[in-house]
Amino acid sequence: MSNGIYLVRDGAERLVIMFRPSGIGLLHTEMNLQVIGTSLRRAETVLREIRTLANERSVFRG
Amino acid sequence: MTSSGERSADQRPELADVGRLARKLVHRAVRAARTEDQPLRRVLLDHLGPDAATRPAVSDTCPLYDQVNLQIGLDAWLAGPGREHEAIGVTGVPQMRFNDVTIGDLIQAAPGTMYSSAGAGAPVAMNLPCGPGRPCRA
Repeated sequence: MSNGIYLVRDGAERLVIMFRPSGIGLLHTEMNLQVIGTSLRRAETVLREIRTLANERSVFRG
Repeated sequence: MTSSGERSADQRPELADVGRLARKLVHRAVRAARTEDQPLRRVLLDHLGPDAATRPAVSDTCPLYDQVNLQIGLDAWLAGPGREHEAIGVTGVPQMRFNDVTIGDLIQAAPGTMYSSAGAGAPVAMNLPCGPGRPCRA
């Protein structure tokens, strides 16, 4: 997805995740993932879990 | 086939046209009155609650070539037990292509500012290559 926002319900907790390309001007060189959570620790944990899953399931793995 | 005489008779004003026109005007006025000025901001506030602007946010970046993997990781996380989600696309802000906007920018957009016109639309999926001989993934 490009320039997307996910409205997430994780049990009783509500989060927002935004996934979009970033960079300078039209030259997008990175993907940016932002998480808003109920606490800083929770948002960091969500981000870490997503990165771990991305690494585990990477299509670049043989 | 219809003759030009029959056509002009069809287009002659009728009393019922006044009622049709009035209904259209009322529908248009109701739609305009109920349209949110800041639709995406409203969606985010409805989801997060009134303290949305003060909630902590973290962000991470990865190289563009890793987008497909990050999307796979995100999809896997979203599919976790007890989780539900709704994906929305950001519309009405072409400047987003040139700016590093944050969720906070969208939540705190004051009326009349760049992101205040942001709307919630359908998300856009992209097909991305996953390597030789593999199908593309969105």
